[in-house]
Parts: sequence; structure tokens; C-alpha cells
Amino acid sequence: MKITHILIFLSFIILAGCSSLTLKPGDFAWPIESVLKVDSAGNVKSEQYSFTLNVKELLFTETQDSVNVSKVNLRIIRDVNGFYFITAAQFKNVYVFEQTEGGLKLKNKILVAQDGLNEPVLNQRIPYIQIVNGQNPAILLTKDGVFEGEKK
Amino acid sequence: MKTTIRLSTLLAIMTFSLVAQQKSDYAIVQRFQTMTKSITNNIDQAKTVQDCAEANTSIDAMEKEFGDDKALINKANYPDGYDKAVEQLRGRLLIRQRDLGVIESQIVRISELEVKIRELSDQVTKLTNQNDSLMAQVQKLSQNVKKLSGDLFNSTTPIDSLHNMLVKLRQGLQERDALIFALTDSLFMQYDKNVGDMKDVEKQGLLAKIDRHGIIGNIKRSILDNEAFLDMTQLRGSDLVTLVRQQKRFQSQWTGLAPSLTSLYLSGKSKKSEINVVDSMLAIWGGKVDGAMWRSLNTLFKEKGFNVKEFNNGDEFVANFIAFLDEQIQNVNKETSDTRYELFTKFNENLWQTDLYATWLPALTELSKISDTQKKDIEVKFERWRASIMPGATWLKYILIVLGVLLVAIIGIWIFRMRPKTTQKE
Repeated sequence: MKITHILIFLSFIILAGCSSLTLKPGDFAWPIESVLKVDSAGNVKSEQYSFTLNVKELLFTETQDSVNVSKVNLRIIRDVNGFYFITAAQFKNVYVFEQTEGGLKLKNKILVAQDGLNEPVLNQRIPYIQIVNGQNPAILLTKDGVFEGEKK
Repeated sequence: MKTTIRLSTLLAIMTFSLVAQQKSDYAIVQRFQTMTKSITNNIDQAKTVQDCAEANTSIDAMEKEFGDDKALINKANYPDGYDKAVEQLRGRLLIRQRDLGVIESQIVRISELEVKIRELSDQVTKLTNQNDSLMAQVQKLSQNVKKLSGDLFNSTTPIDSLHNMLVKLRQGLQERDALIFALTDSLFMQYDKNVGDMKDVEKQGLLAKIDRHGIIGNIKRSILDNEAFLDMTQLRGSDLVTLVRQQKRFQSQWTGLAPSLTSLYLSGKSKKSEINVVDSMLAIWGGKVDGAMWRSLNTLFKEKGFNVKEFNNGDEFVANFIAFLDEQIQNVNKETSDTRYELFTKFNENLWQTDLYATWLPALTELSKISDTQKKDIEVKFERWRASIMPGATWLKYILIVLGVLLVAIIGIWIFRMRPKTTQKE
């Protein structure tokens, strides 16, 4: 009986040690987007936020071309929850990524312009991300897609 | 209905705010950073009190432009934000002013002028765009009128909108001309001394400002626009006189400015040639308005039916007009008194009183196309023509007057006699 009690007690201690520790609330919002030029190797580098990222896969997914990458200016912004929203001129979609070990993992792909974006701009409008394309009406986005409710 | 109007208004406001918000935060911050960098460079390179004043005005303008985006810039302009960036610029300028030994009161006075210069420069740009658009509209409407009536547009075309547009365009061109010279004056006033007394560094500063505000380019543009306006409108009479006046005023303002610019451009041959180009352009414009003016006056005589030999300048005008008057005085064609009287009355009522004496002679004197003496000669000749007229119908007039007086007298006597003598009866 004593041994059973000891085992139960030890199990509690082990389970408590293994449960995930969550730090909340957090605010990861970037005040403005970063416009990063893709180099010939397909990398973008942000000095302000100190990160480097290879985006060849993303460019291939969107344009089916991973060779001519060096002319692309990628627009990246991070929302309040820490998701990365990425797009560029000629893209049809805005890509939502979350951080994973040593990179970013696709969370969602939001179609915003059937014919491709001309002059996309990403603005921080907490809790949303706003995308403006030239003179077209602005669209509010969340990680799940286009926000259909009230628009700012 | 009221609810619908309210909803529409609300929708319009929402749409407006939606459109107003559709700008790039990134672009705002980028512009702020670029401006900060540019002002910093200007402060570091400032060599005169005018340079410092310009930097001071630029900081004020920057604060005004980005006032609404302060919160965004404070967050996004890493690491200084908005407040610290502006504070650093002001501090940097203060240090530079001290290094150059600039007195604060000088800065204030010159900064005020700098603000005025920027406002004037903005107004010039705004008016240029407005005039361009009006010019295009007038051209389009004139072509339509031409198609409809088969005649080119002139000031008597009975189309109100076109005439109003024309008046507006003329005012716009005049206003722009005045603004350019006001802007140039303000630029020179900042230095408060003759070009000859300026240091090289001040001359360079002033030259840079003249180039930056496109003074020569704007002057050339004004001349071309005024010429185009003259070509497209075919104005007459007092409208044309206004244009000639405008050209003379422009010419005189340029004559005042050109020597200062020549002194400034002494070092650069290419720049100096620009002044000669403006001189030539002004001469062409002057020739065009003069030509249009003499054409208009020749046409006036013809339209009213008076055969004055064609003239192309002031002396020819005086000679030919006086020759015409002499012919009338001497009665070269041996016309009857009645015909002469009719001709004189027609000339006096349809041309002399309405156009020549009222508009043209004073304008030609004012514009130095004819001298005061020449004007006086014409007036004397006209009076001699009047005196030489022996109206054929005058005796008839006198007879009618005498008959009238007699008739009144007879009627009076008759009434007096017919009056009942009531006093005698009583």
C-alpha cells in the first residue's frame, strides 16, 4: 500500500515536470513591415530583427520559378500573436507562417488577388494585418484568412 | 428619407476615412528617415545663416508633416523613434549655428522668409497644374466651337463657360507670373545685400536655391504659356490691351532681375546663356503681342468701314491715322456736306467715342507705343475735322426751331383770348 502511494506521488511529480510551460500574454507585432530583397541564393536578411531566411521554396510555390529570385522584394510583417505574413508584388496570395525549429512553417495561404498584386503593402492594424494593393480597398487579414467583419 | 441621407453621409465619411487610411506605414517611416538623413546632411554642410535657417524651416516642416504619425514613427523608427530624432536634429543645428557664430534673431527673420518662399513655391506649382488643366480645357472647347461655328474662338463667342474659363486662365497666368517674381524677390531678400557684396559661399547658396525652385525654368514656362494663350484666344480690344500690359509688366520685372542673375551666373557660362535665352523668348512674346495688337486695331478700322492705311507700329499708326483725318478735313473726295456730316457722326459715335478715345489712345500712350504729343496731335486733328464739318441740314434745324417758337406763341395768345372773362360778368 505504501509502495502504491509512493508510486502515485512520484508519477505526479514526473507529469508536472513534463507539462508545457506557457508564457502569456505576449505581443510580437512589428510596427511596420520589413521590405527585404531576395539575394541570388534565395535568402532574405533583416538587420533590424536579426534573422536570415531562405525563401526559395516560397517563391517556387507562388511563381513556379526558383531561379530568377534576386529581383523579388519580399514584404514581411509579424502580427501580435507572432505569425509571419509574407507577400510580394505579382503574388496572388499572402502566406501565413509560424515559427518552427530553425525556420518557418506554413500555417495558411490566403488568396487576395486573383490577377496578382501590383503594389502590395502590409500594415499593422492590431489585431489584424491590413493589406493594401494600389487603389483597391484594403483587406484585413488574420492567420485564418480574410477578416469579413468590420473593416478599418 | 432623412435616415437615408444620414446613412449616405456616414457611408461617405467611412469611405473617405478608409481611403485616407490606405497608405503604407512602411513608406511613411521610410520618408521620415530619408528626410531626417537629408536634414542632417544639410546641417553638417551649412556654411551660412541662410543654410541654418533653411535647415530650421525643414525641421519645422517635417514636424508638421509627420505630426499625425508620431506614434507610429516612435515605434517603428528604430532606435530613435520620432521625439529623439527631432530633438537630435535641433541640437545638431544649434551646435552648427554656434560654430558659425549665427545670431538667433537672424535665424528667425530668415526662417520666416524661408517659410514664405516655400509657400510661394508650392503656390507656383499648384497654379502651374491648374493652368495646364485649364489650358487643355480651353483648347478642347475652342476646337468644338470651331467645328460648330466654323470660326475660331474669340472674346465675343457666346459661350459663357468658355469665356469664363478663358478669364480664369488669364487670371491664373497673371497670378503665376506675379508669384514667380515674388518668390525670386524673397530669395534675394534672405541675403539682404547686393550680389556684388555677397561672399562666394552666399552666392553659391543663393544659386542653389534659385535652381531648386526652378526660377529660370518657371520664367520660361510663363512666357511660353502666355504665348500659347495669345495664340489660342485671338483676343481683341481691351482684352488684348490687358495682355500687352501683362507682357510689359513681365518684361520690366525681368529687366530688374536679370542683372542680379547675371552677376550670380558669372562663373558658369551655360547658366549665363540661360539669361540670353529668356531675353530672346521675351522679345518673341513682345513681338507677338504687339503684332496681335496692331492687327486688332487695323481690323477695327476696317470693320467699322474707315479706310485707314495699314500700320504695324506706333509711328505708322499715327502717320496713317492723321493722313486719314487730313483727307477728311481737306475733303479730298469732294463729298457733299451731308455725306461728310454723316461720315463724321458715324466715326465719332461708332469708333472714336467707343474704342479709340476710350481705350486705344490711352493704352497706346501708357504702353509707350505712341507719345503724348502724338496722341495730342491726333486729338487736335479730330477736333479740326469736327470744326470743318458744315452740316447741310442746319438751316432746316433753325427754321424748325423758329416755327416751333411761333407755334407756341400763337397757341398761347389764342388760349389767352378764349379765356372766359368771369370778372366782367360779375
